Amino acid sequence: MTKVKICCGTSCYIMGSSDLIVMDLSCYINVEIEGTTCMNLCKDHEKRPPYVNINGVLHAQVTPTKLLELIEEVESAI
Amino acid sequence: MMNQGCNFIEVAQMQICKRGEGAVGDTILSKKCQETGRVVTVLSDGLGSGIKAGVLSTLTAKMALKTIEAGIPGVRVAETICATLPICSERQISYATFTIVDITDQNMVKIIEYDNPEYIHYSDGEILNWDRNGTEFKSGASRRNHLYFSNFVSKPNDRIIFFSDGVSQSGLGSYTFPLGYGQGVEDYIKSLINENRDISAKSLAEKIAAKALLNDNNIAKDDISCVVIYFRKPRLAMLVTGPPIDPRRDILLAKRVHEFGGERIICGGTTANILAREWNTEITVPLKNIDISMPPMGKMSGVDLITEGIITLGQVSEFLESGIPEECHNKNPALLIVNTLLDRDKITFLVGTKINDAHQDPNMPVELEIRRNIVKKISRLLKDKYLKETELIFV
Repeated sequence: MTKVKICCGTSCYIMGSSDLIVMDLSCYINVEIEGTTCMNLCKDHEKRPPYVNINGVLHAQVTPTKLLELIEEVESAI
Repeated sequence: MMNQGCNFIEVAQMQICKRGEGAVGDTILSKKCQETGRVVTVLSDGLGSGIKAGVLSTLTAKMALKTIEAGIPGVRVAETICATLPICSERQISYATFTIVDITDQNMVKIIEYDNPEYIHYSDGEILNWDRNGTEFKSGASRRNHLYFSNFVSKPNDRIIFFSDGVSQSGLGSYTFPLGYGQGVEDYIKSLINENRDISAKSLAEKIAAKALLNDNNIAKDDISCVVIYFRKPRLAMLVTGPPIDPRRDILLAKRVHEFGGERIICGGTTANILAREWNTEITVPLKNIDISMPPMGKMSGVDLITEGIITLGQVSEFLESGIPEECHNKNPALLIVNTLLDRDKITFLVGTKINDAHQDPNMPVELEIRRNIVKKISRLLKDKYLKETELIFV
């Protein structure tokens, strides 16, 4: 099972996670999506929000296209 | 309305207009003093019905409220009112009844009655009959000049109920109540409270008025007015938002929230994380069946609502200020917060003052307000517009 955790903290939300949480990913039957409260990464100026954690690996600046790519990548590796 | 005796005083009323009249002739006014917790409530029934009666009762209730608040003795209050009221052109008298209930700190109740049906003091399943000390006063053109005073100390869960003759005389001339409802109302009140010991003042007042209307065969023959004062424990809520300025105080914050005896609302992911860590529990953020216009809500045991912080609070403030738009989603987190807050009597805001640096980033597409200011605004709105008791604690 692939576990996708989308940060729903204020910074992530206004920087784009609001677009991620509404994505219909029901076609990926092995993917479980949930939100998370602020992961406290928004102060990291190296990377940028919104943050998504996929199976324990952190991804920054995730857009809807990037999220799909990341999921595809993980799924094809299984 | 919070009184010093740690009791909450709920005052509620219900009025039904006499059939055929455009305005109610009875007036009910209630006011509490924010500093002392004193609550003064007046019910007045003006001579006749409709606008004319409304003018007489409004003048009476307003004068009674102001003069009693100012500490003027009851007899002088009554004389001043009778001397001031305009004289009815048809009847050549000036007349309006009143009942004044003055509740000071320590739940001391002073009641002054002039020609209204006698008040009812419900305590522990019984109707208590206190001595009513009668006094005469100069009533001008009217021959009705008896004032009745009673004093007592109320206990928690007591109720004081008073009404216009539209209630006590309802059903007059009918087969069931040839002489009016009279004492029947006492039994009805007892049965209602027996059925539901926690019945709110509002609900009780509504039920009594509805019963009076029913006695009149659903055609009110007089103005029906009923006031219920209920001495009860306040319903509490705590809204926690923002991490403490010093992380060493996290533990105190968690303890304080844990010990709170009321609804708990947390606005802010970081704040929720602190509590989850201190309480050794987990937060989940389900994304199914949510309002997509707002950041989603979280779930954690021991907390009634968990939402995002500053965006949600901004919307709460907007809803409180301008009302809830019709198209608002029923799962909107701000709506759920507003509903919870408005259902409570006293709201404590526990506000962490740590500034979220990420929100100060100029690259942010929207400007985010400082938490402290928005919470202050919400607190002020609840106090001024919705008459709630609020408390702000900065941590």
